[in-house]
Amino acid sequence: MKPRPPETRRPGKLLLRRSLLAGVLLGLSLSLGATLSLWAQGMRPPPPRASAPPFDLKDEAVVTEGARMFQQNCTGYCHGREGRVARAPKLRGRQFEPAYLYERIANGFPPMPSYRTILADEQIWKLVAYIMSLADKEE
Amino acid sequence: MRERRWWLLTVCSLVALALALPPPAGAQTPGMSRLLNQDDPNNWPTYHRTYSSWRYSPLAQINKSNIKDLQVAWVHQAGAIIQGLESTPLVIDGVLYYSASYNRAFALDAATGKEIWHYYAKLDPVVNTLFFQPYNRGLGAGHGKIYMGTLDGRVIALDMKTGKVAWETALVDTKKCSCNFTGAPLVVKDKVIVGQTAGEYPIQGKIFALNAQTGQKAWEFNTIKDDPKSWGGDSGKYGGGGGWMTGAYDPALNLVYWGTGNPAPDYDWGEARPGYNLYTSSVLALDPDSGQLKWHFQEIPHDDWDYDSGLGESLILDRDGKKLLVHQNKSGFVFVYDRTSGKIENVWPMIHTYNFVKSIDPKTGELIGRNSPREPGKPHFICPWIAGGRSWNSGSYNPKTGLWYNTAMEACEEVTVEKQTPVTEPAAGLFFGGDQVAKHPPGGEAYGHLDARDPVTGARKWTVNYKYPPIGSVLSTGGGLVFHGDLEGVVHAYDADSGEQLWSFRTGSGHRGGPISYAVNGRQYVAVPSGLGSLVLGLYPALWPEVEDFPAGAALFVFTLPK
Repeated sequence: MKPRPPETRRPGKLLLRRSLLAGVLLGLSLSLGATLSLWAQGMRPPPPRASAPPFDLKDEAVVTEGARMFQQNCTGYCHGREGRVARAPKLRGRQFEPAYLYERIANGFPPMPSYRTILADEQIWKLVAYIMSLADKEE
Repeated sequence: MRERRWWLLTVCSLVALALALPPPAGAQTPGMSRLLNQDDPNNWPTYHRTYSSWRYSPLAQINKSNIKDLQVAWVHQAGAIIQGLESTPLVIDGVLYYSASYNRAFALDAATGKEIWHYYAKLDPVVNTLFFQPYNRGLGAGHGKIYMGTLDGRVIALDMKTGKVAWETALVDTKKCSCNFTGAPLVVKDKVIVGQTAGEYPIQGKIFALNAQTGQKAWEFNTIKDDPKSWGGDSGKYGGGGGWMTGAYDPALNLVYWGTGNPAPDYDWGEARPGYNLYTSSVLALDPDSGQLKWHFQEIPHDDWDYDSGLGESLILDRDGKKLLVHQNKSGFVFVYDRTSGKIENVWPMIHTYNFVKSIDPKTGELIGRNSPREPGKPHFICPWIAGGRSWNSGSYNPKTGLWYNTAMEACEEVTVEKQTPVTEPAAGLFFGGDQVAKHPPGGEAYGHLDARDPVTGARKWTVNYKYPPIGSVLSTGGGLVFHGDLEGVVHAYDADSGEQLWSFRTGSGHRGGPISYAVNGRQYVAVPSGLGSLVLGLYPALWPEVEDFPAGAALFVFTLPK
């Protein structure tokens, strides 16, 4: 852990800073409280809105990269190889809306982990592209 | 003479006074001397019941002749069913304690199931981003407290009577390492010992000891040895390991035995982690007071298959004047040690289907004829599968029969190794170095079995086969019974001598936890956690698609004889 730099606040700005800090803390604690409350009830916080994909989801390079990421993050114990049957839902040969896939990956669906803090937006879209590419694949 | 009489009188009066007064509050809770003795047959005070990890209850009221009359006394629902019910309850003086997913803990009247208290941990939302969640495998007890490792990297001590938090200590930075605690802590004297998850992440896994009264960290042991000969380049930084299950303790030798997790990445494409990768996939003998390593044995040097030693109970047995330790590795081989020194006494396979080695030398423990998947992108057929010859569920040793009742899996996989760069920012990402898909063994169907074997020689007395490899722990009792729940949601009681099924009951969801037995007011009970869930279940549908839809659950069924 890096040591914090020494504080060099000017007294005149202290009150303003404190008010701002209090406001931010209040806001944070309210939102955290709401999240924890939902959490305690076993509910998920509202999903972030899926942004638009930053590239063509059919781009071959994107799909290839998505396949590599899928193998590293999603198969093994969870989804089957190349989206085949597993305890987690089978993804092969199924039609999905891109926004649905994005939100499911970003938010998770217990016990599926949420990836929004682990993967960048662009990486999540690469996974979406790969899963979309499995729609017309046979067993 | 007169003076001596005066002293005697004073001492006698004080003793009489002490006996007349109610005991101080702390004395009503089980002290460590009592837990150390572990000789109260009515109780199940630690994860494997005793430090020797036998999972054996000496109780015999329920026995071969009356088991047919066994009936449900009560059921408790944990309410959180994701990843099922993986834990083993504790019972101390008529109170049953158990844990469930999302770090729920309950204290129940062990005779009626009526709740005394519950504790639902407030968990950091980071838990939702993890691979190892939301299950919990059990609790520790002692010093008037119940101890639980949390999904967000803490150990929490709860007052045994009230369930109120006595202390909590954050041991790992889960937001950074994606690691946590899922196994049951082991209470040894004045310490609580617990190991972290690590093997599938590019981090360094540790085993920790805390002061049981205050929660202050006493020591930590890094399972990644700081040694360039063991870890080439900077691979040790990402070496994984850890010690995610519960160890054993020998009070006479004052040694704690702890198995360690696999190295990361799980698979090696040839240059991922040059060296033997100590102390991963090893058994450690640690001084519980200092954390000092007394001996170690690496069961799988440079593990190429995710056959870690983190799972596998450490059976403490004495035979023919020898102090032995029997530890099953995930590979399906059982290692028998002289537990004073770590010298190998025997190694034997508990599965029939393996090709990762030709054999393991029973005199030295050396892996002979290794079959390592090393070619990136090329599928490689390996047995046993990544779920192991057995998963982390435990067997049971019965001193009356001298047999170890243990489950085994006969299944294979196709491993495809892929070069992978470790991800540590913003948080550690999974680091498998490849993936695998389950396969049936050559020429037959995958299956599982429960065996009664001599734990030292491996000599087999009887076997019960199951279509789906079972993943529940085993209980054996002084009543000559062996209890085991299967994947389909049926708990069976077998004759410990013959393997004949004497009783069964359908709980409605598969079994992953540990059945126990205990007594309250002279009445024996058998508690069976039911609730299917587990990471390894993800492997099953490739072999049996119907397993995809097997229902989860989380209920504790408690059985007894009619009055």
